[in-house]
Amino acid sequence: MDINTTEKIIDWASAMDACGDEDTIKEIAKLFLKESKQDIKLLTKAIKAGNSVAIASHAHRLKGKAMMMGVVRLSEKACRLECAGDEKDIEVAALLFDDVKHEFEKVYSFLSRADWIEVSKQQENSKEAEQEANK
Amino acid sequence: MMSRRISILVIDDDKAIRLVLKKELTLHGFEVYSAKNGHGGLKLANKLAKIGKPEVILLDWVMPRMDGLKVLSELKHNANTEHIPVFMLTAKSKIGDIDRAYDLGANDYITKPFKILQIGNTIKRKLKKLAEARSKQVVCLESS
Repeated sequence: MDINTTEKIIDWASAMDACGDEDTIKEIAKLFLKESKQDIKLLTKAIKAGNSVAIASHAHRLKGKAMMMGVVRLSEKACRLECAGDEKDIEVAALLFDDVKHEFEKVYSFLSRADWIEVSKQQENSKEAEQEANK
Repeated sequence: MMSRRISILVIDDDKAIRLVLKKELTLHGFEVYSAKNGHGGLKLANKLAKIGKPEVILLDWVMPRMDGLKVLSELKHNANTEHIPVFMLTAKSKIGDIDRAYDLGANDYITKPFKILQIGNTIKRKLKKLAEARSKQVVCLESS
């Protein structure tokens, strides 16, 4: 495993801020894997139906889950999708949803790896070392 | 001396939030109740009110079917629950709307994402501030 070539998916410091400890992060990750696929299914349905209220609501849920896990990019993308839903802009929502789905698949596959915690921690350590070196 | 446990009701549709709040606040000595939606929250608040609980409600703003503002309005229009302080849980992007919650009777708010290890102290601090403000009001009323 080369952490330099592995894309950073989780901001470990943010996940620790939100969850408090590693055991809770693991617990929340299990929940994320179990529940967020359903959010994507419901979003797909809402986009097809052009239901802006449902788009905003499911995007909001996905954003919250991603935020808890320190999955920053997915959380930001889901946030933009939520805004498009709030603004009833279905066309933009459909475009943003492709982005969200793509990001979600990356997160899902990363969290399904056996070493995701190790990788995330190492990436956090190298970020801290880099910040220290830049001081 | 053992300090008294503060009872708190968390109303949030996000299971992860309920889970981390319950874990952390219990560690902080709170007695934690939770509900996963507005209807459940109102029902539980009513039931608990009969035994003098909870002492504070943490209420999520954006929830499906019945949002936090609707729940807040019902809590504040119910003689059993109107006195219970309500702290809104809200995303930073909704801060501009917080006045709507204050108009409906919210007592304070906490922005998401929050640092979980600070949440217990944050709530205790806000409750203390609220109690001080209420006792000042009583003094003012008595002296006038």
